[in-house]
Amino acid sequence: MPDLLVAFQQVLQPGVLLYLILGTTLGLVVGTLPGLTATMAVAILTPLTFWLPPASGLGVLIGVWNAAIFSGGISAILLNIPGTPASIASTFDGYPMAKKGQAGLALGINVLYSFIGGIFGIVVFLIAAFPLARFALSFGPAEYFALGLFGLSMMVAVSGTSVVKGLITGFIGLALSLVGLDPMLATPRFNFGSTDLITGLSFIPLMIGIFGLGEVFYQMAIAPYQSQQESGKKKESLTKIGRMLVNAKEFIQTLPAAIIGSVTGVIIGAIPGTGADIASLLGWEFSRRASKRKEEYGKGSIEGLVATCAANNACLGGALTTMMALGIPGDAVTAVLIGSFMMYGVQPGPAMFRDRSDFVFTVIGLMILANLFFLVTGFIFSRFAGGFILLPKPIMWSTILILSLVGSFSLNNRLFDVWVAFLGGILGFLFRRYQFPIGPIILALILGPMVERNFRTALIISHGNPTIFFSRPISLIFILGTALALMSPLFLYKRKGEER
Amino acid sequence: MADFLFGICTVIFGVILYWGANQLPGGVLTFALNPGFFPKIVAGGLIILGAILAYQGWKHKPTYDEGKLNKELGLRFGALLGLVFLYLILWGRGSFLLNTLIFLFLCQLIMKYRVLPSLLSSTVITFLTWILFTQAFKVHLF
Repeated sequence: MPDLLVAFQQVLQPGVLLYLILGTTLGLVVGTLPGLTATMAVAILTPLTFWLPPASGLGVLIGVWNAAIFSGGISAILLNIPGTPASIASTFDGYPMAKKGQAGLALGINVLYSFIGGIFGIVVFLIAAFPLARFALSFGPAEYFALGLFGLSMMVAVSGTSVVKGLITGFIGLALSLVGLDPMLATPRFNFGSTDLITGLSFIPLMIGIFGLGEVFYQMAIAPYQSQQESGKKKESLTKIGRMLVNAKEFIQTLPAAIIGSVTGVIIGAIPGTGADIASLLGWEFSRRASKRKEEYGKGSIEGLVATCAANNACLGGALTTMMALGIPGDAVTAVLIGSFMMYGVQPGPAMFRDRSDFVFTVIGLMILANLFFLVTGFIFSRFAGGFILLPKPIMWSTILILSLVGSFSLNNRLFDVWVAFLGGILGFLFRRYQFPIGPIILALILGPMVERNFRTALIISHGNPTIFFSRPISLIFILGTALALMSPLFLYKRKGEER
Repeated sequence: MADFLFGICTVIFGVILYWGANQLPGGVLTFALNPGFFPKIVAGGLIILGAILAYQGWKHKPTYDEGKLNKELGLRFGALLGLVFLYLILWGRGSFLLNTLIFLFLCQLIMKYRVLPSLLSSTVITFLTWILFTQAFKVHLF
């Protein structure tokens, strides 16, 4: 507790607060605009925060992350277009509520229950992260290898598309992570004699390329006329907002849905490779099954919207727990945040809790404040969000394009990094166009070196005997989890076939 | 057909990776110290997975719309990629402000935005970007 108070003192500095407010505001805009994602925003902003003190830089990124996940619900409710993937489930009941004249109430639920879910996730992080990190300190190379493998497999298992395609993008990520120096012998590998490649492919420019430029190229190639279609929809969007706050009866009625959504969100977020989109979908479904008013779900149910809003922000706390305690990304955004942490000289993982607990508490403080900021500003922003949705797409995309290119350059003042981002953009476009999941490639880029180093170290310790991975209980559990995760799509496919 | 081609490309990539891993110097003591050990595993995975995807692409209909981009969209997308490529080739030559202004202006025209708003917005975005990076972040732009 004293550490938390010290951290709060640090984050309450005017400079840090200013950047947190800036990040939250940017997140509100990014999340509201369909096509922009929290992952993209965090990826593009990471190099721009390089020159800031860690607390200020993280304030921007954490503010963007929390606010973007919440504000994606605004366009989901008003236009039936999710602002971010996390808000897909918000369209199920949010938009029908808006059509029934309850737009204000839907927007208010989005603000309030996103805040409640977000705080719930932070509380779980506070309770679970430290014991988990202490437990993880007992991990050896075999356990870390198995954990990394498990993380990679989970992303594939829940990718929602072909498992084969998910594995291919994961292996491509592993292949890209091989460029540079051998992690154990420092032998140059696959650098083709280039000094630029001797340290490997720069992670952040590649990430900016895949998530930022790839999305821009995809949107411009596939849907350049959507701006005309959406301007028609914008005219239909409801202008009368009305009551935004739930009354006491509605609050009590929706309490079970809020709890179900929050718990689901935290658990899903903690599983490596999943994200707020899956959390909100499952939160909606579980809440529907437990509700006495099932028939209202999908037709403007307040409970349904409460569950999704609570789930998608609670997911952040779960993802952060896994990322910071184990060094394994909980979702795509935390994968990017790992890169950001490393930029500040901090390696996420159990050792961070032992050696840099001040950093951990700073992150907690920033998360709490970010949630408080979007609670306060969210109500106001939601009322006037229509103006942002009207922003012409060409301006938006060209801004993202130039920020991505110059941001990639600014990290190391190297044109080579911009080329990496450009090639990453082409890769990101191809993956989107041909339905390859993107998450595994970033996850593999981060986990690849860890998986290789620990795999080889474990084999050295065991004198080349691979049974070391099966004879240690924790390692065995993760490997069984990996096998289950990879086989689960087959079980589901077989079950669907039987149902037909 | 797209999945089939992707599968074949993945197999080829895996073969090249395996060949590259074979060229790496051997390690000492145990095979696990060989720098080429893990790359060979990755290469093997890519070859197997690529073959499976190629087979799936050959045998089964795609579950998504893999129809070609229509000609106009394809041309516009190609023009945008070419513009970005040219911008990067010319990086460091001329003036950042002028290069970027022209680049953004042409990008927005490619996106079928009107001429005057494109010019205005490109100018604003260019100057704001320049101020942000050179004045706030002290990045040296050409």
